Amino acid sequence: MEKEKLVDLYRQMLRVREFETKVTELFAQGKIPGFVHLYIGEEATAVGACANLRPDDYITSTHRGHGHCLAKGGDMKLMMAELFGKESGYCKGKGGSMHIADMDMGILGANGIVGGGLGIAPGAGLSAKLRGTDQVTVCFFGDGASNQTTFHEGINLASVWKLPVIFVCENNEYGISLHQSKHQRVADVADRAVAYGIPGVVVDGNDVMAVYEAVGEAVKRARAGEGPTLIEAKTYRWRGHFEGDPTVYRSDKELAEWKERCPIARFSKHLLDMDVVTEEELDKIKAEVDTEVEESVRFAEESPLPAPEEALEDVYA
Amino acid sequence: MTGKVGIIANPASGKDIRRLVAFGSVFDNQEKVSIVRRILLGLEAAGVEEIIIMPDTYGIGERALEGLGKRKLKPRVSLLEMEIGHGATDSTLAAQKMAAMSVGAMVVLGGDGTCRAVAKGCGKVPLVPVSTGTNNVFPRMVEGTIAGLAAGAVATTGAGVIQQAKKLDIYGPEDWRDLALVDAVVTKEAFIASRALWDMDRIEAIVATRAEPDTIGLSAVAGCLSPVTPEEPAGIHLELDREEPTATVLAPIAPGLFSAVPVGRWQRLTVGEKVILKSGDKPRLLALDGEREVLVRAGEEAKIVLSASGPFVVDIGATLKRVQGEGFFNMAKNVRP
Repeated sequence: MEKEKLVDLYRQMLRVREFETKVTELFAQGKIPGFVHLYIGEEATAVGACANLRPDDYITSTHRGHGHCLAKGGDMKLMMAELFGKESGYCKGKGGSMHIADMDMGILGANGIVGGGLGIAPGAGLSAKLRGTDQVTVCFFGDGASNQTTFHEGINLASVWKLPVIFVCENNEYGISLHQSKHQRVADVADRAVAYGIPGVVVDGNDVMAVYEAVGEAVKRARAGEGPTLIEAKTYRWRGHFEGDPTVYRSDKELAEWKERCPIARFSKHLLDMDVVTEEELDKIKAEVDTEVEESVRFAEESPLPAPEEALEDVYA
Repeated sequence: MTGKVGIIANPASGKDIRRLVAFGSVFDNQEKVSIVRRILLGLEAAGVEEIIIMPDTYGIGERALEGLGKRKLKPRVSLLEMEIGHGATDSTLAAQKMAAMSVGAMVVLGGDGTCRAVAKGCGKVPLVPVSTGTNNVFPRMVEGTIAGLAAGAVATTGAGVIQQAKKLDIYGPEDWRDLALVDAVVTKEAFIASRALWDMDRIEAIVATRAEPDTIGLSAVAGCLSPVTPEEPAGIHLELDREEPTATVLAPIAPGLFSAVPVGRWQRLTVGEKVILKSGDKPRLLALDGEREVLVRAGEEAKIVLSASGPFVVDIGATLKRVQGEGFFNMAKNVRP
């Protein structure tokens, strides 16, 4: 892989990390209303997967969707403004974190319903197939969502119709507060691929190159008309299920062990070891990302709130 | 004899990217549970007194026991006390602990990678490797019932037919870094990433302890060129040469995946002989037993040394034949403990 692409993988992961870190501060300060579910610790999965996609490809996202949106090319300013509830945000300030979408970038929406994207992704895949394009759809979901009926229905339909969909399970070990071992009898969600007659593989979700390689192969299959793939990325969220979650269901030791496997620190160390980048180059990227995040906050803060008389506009339910 | 046997089953084997880039099958953990259950019954039939199982994140051992229902096993069965969840090092640690507990044999479920991890900790305890990985050379495809029976026979009678395997020791500029049981492959890959190898264009050289045409993987390239048996005190080193190959070999490099491999220079190795790898101006990754593992930085030099001091391995067929001759299966003789 060329240096430019490697450095971009690092930059994209850092953009997600710094965006989310800023959100923790702003949420604690009361500047962001509602709920936010943060992606810190899982950056390699979204970035590694989306690095294989073209602008006209699709993704479906989850309640923990900021990383997916940024990795697929979403606009950080419009995202931050949406979190602030401002008129300039992606949903004019009326949707918040869990409804951010960008049709121009193929981002078919975050989703407050667990497993909601599993129903939408096959539809996007069917659309591409009927239109005769080679667009693919990456469907992100979690280990908890793999127990929802949409998981069965979505993958079953995609497999029967050989739809160009890559199902990426972000197994972060917890469905809200319930450890995976307490909500399903399998340890590897990828094992379930057998039931649908499609390939299923497990990758280290904290290794951006491992995710990139596996999703890349699945994208090739999908574009060639060979149907869907189930990829399980083993990862971990550093924050609670939502900001404010006291996380009494997991130990400090467990969290510390996963922090040792930080996807960004691992990747930057390898880039340095391989003489791909210098410390100075990494520092420069960090400074540029910090500036981008600060500008998104300024944009959000300076944007107006939606007018009260528009409260019922663009509201469908 | 100890009448004590250890079981190490890797819950992570058989699920990597080779199910996408080749035609590997998914080896789900429930099947591993079933195999361990049959191993337990084989060990019981052999008269083993005690069985120690490595705990794992899936609970293969607990589920194997659970599936026996009300049928109570005669041997005492326990889970090893250890912290788990650290990947391959779990298997190494379990092997060390079991060796310290003087088990008479270890049954290992996994692929070449799992066996490699166990080989780092098992000392002189003989192994019964059972293949549950992707394309394996070191562990055999063998029915769990028979694997358990053979491991039990070794542990209870001491009459096992056991061979010491070869290995490759990998040295960095200053120190020992790792070992391989089957092959060490020099690649142009820059990242460990999904670990597996499937693109022959990224491969520069292969060093193997054994090379058999009836196996799958990178050592099979050498096996299809000039076989080296697991028993003979030799290895093989070959370099790929796309410009002026001396031979082009058709080889199964992954399940269902064949490649015409252009080979340049090649030589058989004697025990103790070393292959020097100079990375030059570009870093290299060494893949050990099919998994990208050791980084050799630009300008660094690594050594790959063929050794006859690998782990001890039970010859299942020969062992069972021998103990049969000694009346092991004759209930009237009651030779079993």
